[in-house]
Amino acid sequence: MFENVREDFNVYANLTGVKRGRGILAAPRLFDARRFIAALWMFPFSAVVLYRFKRWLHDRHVPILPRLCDWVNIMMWQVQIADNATIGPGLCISHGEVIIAGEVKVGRNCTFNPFSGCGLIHKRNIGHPWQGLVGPTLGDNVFVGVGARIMGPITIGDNVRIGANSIVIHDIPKDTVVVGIPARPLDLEDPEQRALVQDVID
Amino acid sequence: MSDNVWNEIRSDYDAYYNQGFSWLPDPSKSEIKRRWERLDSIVLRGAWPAVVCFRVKKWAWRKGIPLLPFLCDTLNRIFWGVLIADHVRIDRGLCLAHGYVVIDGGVTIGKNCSINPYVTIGLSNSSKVGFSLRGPTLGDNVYIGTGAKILGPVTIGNDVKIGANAVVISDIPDGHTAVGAPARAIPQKPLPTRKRRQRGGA
Repeated sequence: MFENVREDFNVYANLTGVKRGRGILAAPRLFDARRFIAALWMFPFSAVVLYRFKRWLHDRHVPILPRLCDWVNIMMWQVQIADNATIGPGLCISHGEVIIAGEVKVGRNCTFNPFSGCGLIHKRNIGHPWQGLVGPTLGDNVFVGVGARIMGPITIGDNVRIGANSIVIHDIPKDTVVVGIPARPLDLEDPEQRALVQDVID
Repeated sequence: MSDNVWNEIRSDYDAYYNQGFSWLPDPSKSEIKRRWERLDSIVLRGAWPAVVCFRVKKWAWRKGIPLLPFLCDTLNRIFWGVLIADHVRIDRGLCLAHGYVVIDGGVTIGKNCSINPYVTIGLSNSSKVGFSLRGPTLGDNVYIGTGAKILGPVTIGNDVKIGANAVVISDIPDGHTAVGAPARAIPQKPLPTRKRRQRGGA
């Protein structure tokens, strides 16, 4: 848990843009109060910490406390992350409003923007007597844009950027940019699409 | 429509279970354990309390009790991000997957409707139709995917599925699926059934 929180903090501290001090303060330290407070104050770093704590409790079979952590997360940041989701270190939830449901695996250094979701496909839509419980598997450094949804038991490679309001329901190879409903990879060789990416996503 | 509020709440609970918002009951576990797991997944993790709050609010609103509707609304807003207006009529068996739903205006929703997060059902002020307080009318067994918007005085039939991030501004007939923005209706394929067992020999 603590290694994960450390990496999450590094990500958030870089986001805040609060610089390390000069002179002796520039040296890497165990605890940097200014950056820590900035991350807590400006970004939902506390939501990520609570999620890590919840997961830690869940692994130790503590009964009620994980639900309390969930409720605090829901009230403060509108973040719902399931117990059985596995999320690597360096998780960045940029402003809250994220839902991660079901058995989801997320790699290192992934970014979730508001109104994005990672989840399951309803049983009505897959012709299965029960809801599929296996959600998507995300690689490392995946960027999920605003309002993008990733649904069903699919695999997404490393360094994928998912555009705003896209619905990802197919497997995505690594190092691509996907947009649209349903999401398709952009052809980055094409100058027009390349310009689109630079305008919209970068 | 003016059903007993207890029956409504009970059928909402059953709808959560029937629509797969709970886990598959494990026959190896005891009856009490299975009941607890169902309660845990629906009450403590799901958004069923939000539906209960809405039902209680409607009941108090019909009875003319002061303050209680406001309290229920506030709870719904704080915890689950659910904003449902006073005049909305929802028949029994409502399922909210995670909350974060806005339903406003004179909306009528039929039985067994399941609504996913970030859905808006409301009024529109388009140049074609103009403004009217009559919102969408939804039939029975409607499934609304994440982030879909249903706007204006449209009529949506029974057994309709609305895809994720669709924007519905026209009528959808029975048994169709609406996808895209603006949404177009496509007939549903029958769900894949099990292959008929082939007989050997002649």
